[in-house]
Order: sequence, then C-alpha cells, then structure tokens
Amino acid sequence: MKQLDKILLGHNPLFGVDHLSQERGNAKQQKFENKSALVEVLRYAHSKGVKAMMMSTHPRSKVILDILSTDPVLKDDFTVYPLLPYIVKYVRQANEKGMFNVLTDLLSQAGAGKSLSMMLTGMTGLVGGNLYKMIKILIDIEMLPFKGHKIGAIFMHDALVDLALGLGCDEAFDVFRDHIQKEYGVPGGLISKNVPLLRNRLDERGWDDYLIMAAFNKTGFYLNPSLDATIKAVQKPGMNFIPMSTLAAGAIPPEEAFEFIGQFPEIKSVVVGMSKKSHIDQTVDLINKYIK
Amino acid sequence: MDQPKLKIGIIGLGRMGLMHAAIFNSLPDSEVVAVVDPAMFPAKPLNMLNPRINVYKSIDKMLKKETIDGVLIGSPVGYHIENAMECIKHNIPFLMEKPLAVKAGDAEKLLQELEKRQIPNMIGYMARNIDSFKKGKKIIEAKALGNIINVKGSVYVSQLFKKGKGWRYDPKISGGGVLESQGSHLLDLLYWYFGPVERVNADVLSVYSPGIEDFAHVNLNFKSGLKGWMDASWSVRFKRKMELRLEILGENGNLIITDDTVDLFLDEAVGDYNSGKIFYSANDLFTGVCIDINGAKFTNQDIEFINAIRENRQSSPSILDGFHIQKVVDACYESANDQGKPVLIS
Repeated sequence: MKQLDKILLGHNPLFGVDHLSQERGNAKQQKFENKSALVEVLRYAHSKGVKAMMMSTHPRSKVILDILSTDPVLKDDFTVYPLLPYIVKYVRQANEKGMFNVLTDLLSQAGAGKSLSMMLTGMTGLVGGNLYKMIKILIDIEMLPFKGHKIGAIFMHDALVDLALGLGCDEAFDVFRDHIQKEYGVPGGLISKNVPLLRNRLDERGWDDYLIMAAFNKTGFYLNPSLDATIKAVQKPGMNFIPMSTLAAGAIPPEEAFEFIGQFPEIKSVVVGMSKKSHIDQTVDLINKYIK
Repeated sequence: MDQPKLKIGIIGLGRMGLMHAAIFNSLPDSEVVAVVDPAMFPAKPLNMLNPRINVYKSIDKMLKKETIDGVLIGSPVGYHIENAMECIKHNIPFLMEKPLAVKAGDAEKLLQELEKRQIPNMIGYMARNIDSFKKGKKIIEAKALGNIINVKGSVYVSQLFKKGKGWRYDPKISGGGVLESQGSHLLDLLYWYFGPVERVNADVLSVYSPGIEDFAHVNLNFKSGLKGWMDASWSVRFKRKMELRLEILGENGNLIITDDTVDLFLDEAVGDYNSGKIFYSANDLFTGVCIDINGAKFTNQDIEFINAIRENRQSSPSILDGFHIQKVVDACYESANDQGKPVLIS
C-alpha cells in the first residue's frame, strides 16, 4: 500500500464530538461555528506539516471543504480522507421516515443534480434487490462533496462496518474496497470498534495489505474486547493500521500516549484531533519523536 | 462451548432490529437464524449477504419452519403486544424494544399471560447497561449517600427543530413525544434506583408537532416517600447524542451521573467509598465487550437476555418493569392534559 500521510487531523473537535465528555464537545461545536476559527486552525496545522484530514459528510464538512478549495495556502496542498457515511444524519432521518425512504430520498437528491443516471441506477438496485449496485451508488453520492479534492483513502464508518461484521455480511467489505480502488484509485479502509474480530474475518476472506482505523491507546479505552487482544491484532502482519483515540479522549498525557504508539513499528500514520495551536505544536513534535 | 448456541429470531428489521440482530449473531452464546419483516428492504439484502439468516413475512411462518430459542421484538410499537402474545403462545422468551405499548392498558392481557406462564422476558430500556449508571446503582445500593433527600434528572437531545415526519411524530402510533421516546429511559433509571413512582404531576409543551410534546417537566413522588423531578426535551441545541443526567442529593453527600461520568462527594466514608470527592471518568468506567455495534450498553443488554434464557429467570428490566414505566408515562400525559393536576399510579 502506498505511504499515507503520517498525521491526519481528526474532525471530531472541529465538529463538536468529544468521547470523554459530551459537554466538552458541545463547547467546541459552538467555538467552530465561526468559520475564521476553522481557517486559523487548518492553516496553523498546515504550517506545522499536518496536511491531511479525516472528514465525514457532517454538515460542517462543507465549510471545511470550501476553505480547502479556496484558501490560497491550503488549496491543492491538503489531502482529505473521507469517512462514509455521516451516520448521525441517516439515523436521525431513519427515525423519522424509515430506512427505505431515507435511501430513496437520497437517491432522488442525486437525481436533482447532474446525476440522473446515478439515481436511476441506484433506484433499480434498491427495488430490484441488487445490493452491490446500490452500495456503489450510495458511495458515489456520499463522495460528491469531495469532488475535486485530493483524496488519500476513503473509510467506511464504524457504525456500518461493525453492523455488517455482526450480521455476517462480510462480502459488503469486498464491494466497498473494490469500488473505492476502482473508482477513486485510493485504498478503501474500514473503521471498527472490534479490530480483533474484524481482522479474523478479513484474513479468512484472504484480504492482505488492507487498511484499518480504530481506537488504540494504552488504557484500552474504546478497545473491544480488550487491550491485549487489540495489541495482538495490531502486531499481526497484513494490516496497515491507523490508530485514533490515542489520547483516550484526553485521559492519557500526550507524551505517554505517543510513546505507547511508538512501541508498534507497524504504525506509520496516526489520526488525532487538534483544535488549539499549543496542542498542535506539542502533538506534532511528539508524533515525529515517536513514530518513525 | 458446552451447549449449542441459542437460536434467535428478529421481528422487525428497523434500525434497532438490525442492531440487535448484529449483536445476537456475534455473541459467543447465540446466533440469528431468522428475521421477520413484511418489507423487502432491508430483509432481502441481508439474506443476500448472509444466506444463513432466513427471511419470513410473518412470525407464524418463522415459527413453523425454525426452532427458535428467543425473539427480539423490534416491530413498530403498535405491534408489540400482538408479537409478544405470539411468543407466549409458543413458550418463546422475548426481548421487546421499548416502549411496551402505545398505552399501558393495551398491555394488560400480556401481563396476565405472563403471570400464568414463567417465560423469560425483557423490555429494552438499555440505560441500565451504561457503565456510569451501573456504577451509580452500586453507590446507591451501598447507601453511601445516607438518606436520600431528593433527585433531579434530565434527558436532552438535538433531534427535532421542525414539524416531525413519520410514525414517531403521530401520537396515535408512537404514544407520545420526548417523554415517551427518551424520557422513559430516564424514568426507568429512576425506577431502578428508587423503586416505583406513586404520583406525578406534569407539564408539557408542544412546539413543532401538534399532540407531540417537545418539552416535558415532571414532578415525581416515589412510593418510598422520595421526591424528585425530571426534565426532558428533544429540541435543545448542541446535544448530538442523547444525554442523560441524574443528580442525587443525600444527607451524606451528593452524586451526579451522566452517560460518561460519575461524580461522587461524601461527607463521611462509607464502605469502599472514601470521604471527599471521587470522580470516575469514561476511561475509568469503560469495559470492553465481545462485540460493540452501537455502544456496549446494547451488547450487555443482549447478554442479559441470553443469560436469562439459559438460567430460565427474569431479565432486568422485565416486561412488568416496562409496564410500570408505561403507566408513569400515561399518568404524565393525563396530568399535563389536566393542567398539571396530580395523578396517582395504580
């Protein structure tokens, strides 16, 4: 697999997500309602060599993508790692009108733009039960906002990965990976809260040199079923692994957190949320110190 | 594995049905063998991707063809009782997504049947399985706070800021608004901690959808004599996920529990709990599970159901517990419709 960016800026702090405390997340969400605050953080990160970012199709991502495509400093020098789909939006809509209607409405939206053929293909897939066709079309619809941007890899959201994993629908992973590679020319990665289980399944399917992103930290926060099992899964050859939640939502001091990550030579990239200049300075230095 | 895996059937492949199907299919002690859903989507794609899960249009057809050890009822609320009665008829344990019914009265015949037949049953109030609230329960049971003076609870989420579409916003189908939908989780926690509620008086406010409350405020009088209040809304900003919070004031200190944290202050040490401030963060409280689909709380909920089937015992919370919560919710609506007049719960 080609070398990915070493440091990926996590989108959570900029979108108001905080895994340790929902209250803290709320405060950040309010801060970054202001576009100039976002520009400032992105430019500063860029100046420190952080030129890549994870991004879902959260409503706020449009603002960030606009910044990336127009800002004279960031334009053409920032790689986006999309995360599909923005699950909260769909869950909310599914609560209101049911999953089938969410999908048909989504496909209709694609039809309202320039993508009539995309919509028609998707509708055929949905009604005719041609699932693979539908998955591909939904990926393409989700990818529309990222058109024209430099893409590093595309990830499937853990809510979908883990659902498919639990249901035993492993073939969906093949469809996703193959379509991403063919259509976008980048790796199709999976995010999961269940790395050891996912690894077993993918290895059984004959996957090799694949890309996984997941929580990984020395306290075992968000690691299922355990820290030990996850360490074994990370050390087993065949996977490119990008850790997230490395600071365990702020519970582990940064030096300790990245020293732990540095013990795993398998890890070449890391995703980390940074929303303050001082935090960016410290984090970038530590990652460069420990991750070679 | 000493015993074969329990075979689970899923009724209703909505969001909750799918999630529980994924969990039951991955627990070491269970597997999903069948789903029942009259709609083609997403049942047909699921069967395409996993042909080991058979799809049926009705419960009857599933039960004629399959050997089922337990059922998850994830159908729309209006079908809950009918589906549960079908399970009872065939002596099959069931876990029902909450709420129990549109109105408590609809569930009386179900309760009568369950009194006659000892079948493990469970209602899907999952907050009992959140690590922080489990910890809170232990603190209360250890009587660390001494006599409890009062309790305040809130539940908020950013969900609705315009007229809602779909069944959830039709009071005849959903049974109500935020009080029924999210408030009931809080009521279940309060019931779990402090026992049955005897009397309520409630005030509700509908802003976006007629007949569906977006805000609710309830004064609660527990049978134990404890008093408290709760506040609920699905129309507040900056609450990406549902946020539950309990504040409990006791003669020996106070306890604040959120979805992520437990914050305890005690004047005097009690048992394992030292005097002064003790704070448990999400990190301190986290425990890994064999599979996490949408939070460990759901995995632990489903494990509890599987264990109850294995041990042929009642689950926590049971359908009977769900019946009490439903009666409290109904009483709140009755009170709110009568200008906040106190309403007794039978």
